[in-house]
Amino acid sequence: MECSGPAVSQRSDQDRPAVWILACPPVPEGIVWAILCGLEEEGIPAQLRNVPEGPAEALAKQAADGSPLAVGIGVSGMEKVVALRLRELPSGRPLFELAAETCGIEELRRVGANAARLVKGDPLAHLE
Amino acid sequence: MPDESKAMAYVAGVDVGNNTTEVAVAELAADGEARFVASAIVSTTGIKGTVGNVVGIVDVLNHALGPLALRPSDLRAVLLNEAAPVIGDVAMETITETVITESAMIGHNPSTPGGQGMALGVTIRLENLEAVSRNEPYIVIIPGETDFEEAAGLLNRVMSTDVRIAGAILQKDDAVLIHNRLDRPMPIVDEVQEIGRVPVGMLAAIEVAAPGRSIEKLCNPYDIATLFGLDAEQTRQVVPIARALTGTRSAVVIRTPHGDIQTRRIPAGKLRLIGSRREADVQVEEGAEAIMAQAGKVAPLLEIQAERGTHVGGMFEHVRSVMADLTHQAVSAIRIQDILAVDTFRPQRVIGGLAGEFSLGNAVGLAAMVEADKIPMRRLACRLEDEIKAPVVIGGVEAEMAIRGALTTPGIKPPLAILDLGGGSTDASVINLAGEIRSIHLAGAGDMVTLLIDSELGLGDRSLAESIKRHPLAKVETLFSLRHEDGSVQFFREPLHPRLFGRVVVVTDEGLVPLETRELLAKITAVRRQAKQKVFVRNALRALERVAPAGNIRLLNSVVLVGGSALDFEIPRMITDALIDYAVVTGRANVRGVEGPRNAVATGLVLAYV
Repeated sequence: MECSGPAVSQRSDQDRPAVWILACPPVPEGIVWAILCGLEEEGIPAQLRNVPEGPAEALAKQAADGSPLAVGIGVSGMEKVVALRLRELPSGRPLFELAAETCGIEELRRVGANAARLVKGDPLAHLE
Repeated sequence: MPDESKAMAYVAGVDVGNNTTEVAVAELAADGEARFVASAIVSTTGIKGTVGNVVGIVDVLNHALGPLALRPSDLRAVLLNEAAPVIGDVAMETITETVITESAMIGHNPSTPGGQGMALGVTIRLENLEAVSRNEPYIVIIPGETDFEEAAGLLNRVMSTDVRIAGAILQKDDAVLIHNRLDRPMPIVDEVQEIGRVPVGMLAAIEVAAPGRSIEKLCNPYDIATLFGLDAEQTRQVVPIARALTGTRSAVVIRTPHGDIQTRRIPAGKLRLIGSRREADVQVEEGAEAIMAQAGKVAPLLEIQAERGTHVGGMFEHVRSVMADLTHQAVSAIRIQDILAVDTFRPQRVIGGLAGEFSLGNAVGLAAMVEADKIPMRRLACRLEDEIKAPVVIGGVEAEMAIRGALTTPGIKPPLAILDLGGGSTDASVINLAGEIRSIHLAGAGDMVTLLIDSELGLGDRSLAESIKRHPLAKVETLFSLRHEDGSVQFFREPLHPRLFGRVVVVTDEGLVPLETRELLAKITAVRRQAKQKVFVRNALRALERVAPAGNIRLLNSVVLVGGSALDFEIPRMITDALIDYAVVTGRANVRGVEGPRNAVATGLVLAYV
């Protein structure tokens, strides 16, 4: 099974099975990096795109709608909010929404790990 | 008014049980015939047989009489069962523990190990890697403080200088991240919490299996012998390590001078079994088979005693003191009359483990029971009379009332046995063709089943174990669907809570309860069924053999199940299956054709009065 290599791909490869991450500036490097590590450790590919603007929840919906694995993460640099959703969820209700300022690297990695587990069907990590 | 009261007299039969209080209300016609008009059930208040029961009795009477526009004071009589108290309880003794000495192995199951295959090397910490002088392969120990990118970079740099790195052991969950960045593939085991205790400078073997598979070499003593150059005696000593690593996805074995993994016996005290002609002592740590075998040799049992300071000893004391209070006797006069021992397991932390390993320790579950002839019911009857202003009559013996009530089930005839599978004891009563009634109480029932489920799944949560006992399981497959244990899929309009996602859940009437365990659904189902089998099926046979005519179950015509456990979704079928060979018609009672397995004693009380 091939799932090796750093998970970021900037190629616009629409069909490759991957979780999509849409981020709008100003995007703090560390936040996206931590999320990508969480996905990579769980062995699920991710695709990162930068977009001009948008609230995290709407970006997450766009990402989930576009992702062939039907899982998307939205990162809003303006609000510093991260949202995770599955395509089939009703609009306006992401699965998780975090304020990136108040959570540490571990929690952001967990968002990535949970995105991967949603794809795999595994129980999610560390929910309060 | 007087004419009406002569024609329409009402009586109520009240059965106060350990868990529930039930009532059957009947209208007495002028010719003396009883017509049942209402029934109700509530939880028993207080211990059965004490004045604390009054609250529950009044409650259940109101429940039944309310819809008839009657009050308790309108009753001609309230009939109470003469309670023959039986107190049962359960306890567990763990009799083995597992110890890893000198950190000789790592056998947890990290969810995302890195790489694949087997490697042999000398253990070395990452910070010492650049200063190596030996020309042999290394296995690098990487603590959690090190960033995974730096670690990967350092490993690559060192490997480019012809130093051989065969594998790595990590503290954090970073195996895949590091492996993805290495110039050469190698097996990597992660999530080793006690990384500081991994022995340094020792020869070690590391193995990671492909996804979905388990290791093949480090669970085989002869492969370990090959890797470490062991002789026959040394190979014999690594057998426990090989066994402990069987079935794992990844493993590390470290050749420390005297390290190994041991299963140690834990002293758990002894039981003294006193029969009418013989006595015997048996050590609890010998296991349930040995205990029950000795009990069989000493039968019929008069008394069982346990050693003080043990869990079992504490439980025996508790049961005896509850009964002493109930019957106003001294504790010293109370004797434990029956026990049921069952071999079981308890997952427990491995002592000396480096990564939070668990292993299954052996344990013995013990149920004990004590019974008394009867308790003075007069205080309860008087208090009840004061409360409801209606005459209270103490009815007949419980077993007899139960049989009368059970006989209202369509399709049965004597010789009839009723099995009451309660919480604290398994009870059986038989009526033969001559109308004679015999009954027996045995230790081991619902509470024991719950104890076994709690123990074998390592839940540490008795009420969760109770839930698992009573309800079927399902696996949540998506946010909108789950698959029940029978394979059928159920969809939901609203998304399920994320904490249920991917988990095995208990399907209760109040909602879905997620389980923390990583065990598969099929395994949990098996634990539940085996617990019911080991306790209820075994005790059903034990009890029926003791009360059946001439001890022969075949001579019974009908066996009916009564009580709460008869409503369980699997137990009646298990007992029916076990009794197939005896050619006995077995099934849940259907008291008066409408109540199912409930209300037998309450109904019987009314029928006896009429």
